[in-house]
Amino acid sequence: MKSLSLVLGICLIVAFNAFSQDFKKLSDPETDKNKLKIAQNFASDFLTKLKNGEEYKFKDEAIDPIKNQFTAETQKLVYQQLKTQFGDFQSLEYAETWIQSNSKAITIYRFKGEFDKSTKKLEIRVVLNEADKIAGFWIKPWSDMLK
Amino acid sequence: MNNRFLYNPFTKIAGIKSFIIGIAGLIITTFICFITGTHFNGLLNIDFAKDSPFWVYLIENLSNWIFISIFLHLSGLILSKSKIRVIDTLGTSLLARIPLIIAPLTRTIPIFQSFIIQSWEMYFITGLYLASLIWTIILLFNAFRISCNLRYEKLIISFIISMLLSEVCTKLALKFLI
Repeated sequence: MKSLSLVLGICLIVAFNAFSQDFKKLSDPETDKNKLKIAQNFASDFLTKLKNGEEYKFKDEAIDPIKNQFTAETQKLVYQQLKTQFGDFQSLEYAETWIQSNSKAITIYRFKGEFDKSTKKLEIRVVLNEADKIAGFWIKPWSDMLK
Repeated sequence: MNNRFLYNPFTKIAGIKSFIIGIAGLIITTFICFITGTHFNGLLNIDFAKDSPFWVYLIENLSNWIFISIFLHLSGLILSKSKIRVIDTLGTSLLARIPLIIAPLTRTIPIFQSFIIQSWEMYFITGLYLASLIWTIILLFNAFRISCNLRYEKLIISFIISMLLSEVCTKLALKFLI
């Protein structure tokens, strides 16, 4: 009975692990510091501009769908919602990097952002593609689980 | 130590002794919750996020304990014919929370510090939490039974109502305070 439970347990762990093999967390030495700087500078510049009431003007650092999505109007709206709920953006600090295990096509950089009305830090997530262009950008409550 | 002691230590430990052991347990649990980012944001909830200062974790753990103690004590005052001591309800319900240290303690192991949703790490921690939660509820039930000297339907119904009310109050308090 005990060995049956053990086998079942191992099978469950292997099955759960198989589902979660898509992403792998990189250790500090594995993280490309240049790519990290691109992501960090983008997130920081973007939020600082919006905080100062300015528009963030994209150049060639992001893919077209991102540029099209974050119009001046959308930027203003997004920041207004953030400000109402969490307050003004204060700062961000690097937390961790994840890559797609199989393809390495995208790299996820997670930062913890401080906002002046919130006791809890928020996640500022920047996704870079293979060409080191911004391919995704989110701000949401922080979780130690990558969702 | 026999098995009975694991789910009903209150025949041997009660009053000020359980309060002191429980307070020590609460402080240690809160500190481990803080360093591992484990939130008990509700009587039955767990969340994983290293996103808050120490006082947030302290308020979460304190409010969970205080509300369940208040409702259990009130139930005892209303339904029991025995003389009930506040220190017994406070101390034993505090002691009953000690098994909840298991999940945050496991999260001190690096692989459990950050992980993917629906990964084996998530299921493992959640499973451990559920086991420790069941253990805590059994301890809490026995703490209530002995501290308030209640039996049968009165005991079961008032325990369930106290749990539900304290869950609602804890959630509201945390929303207001944090």
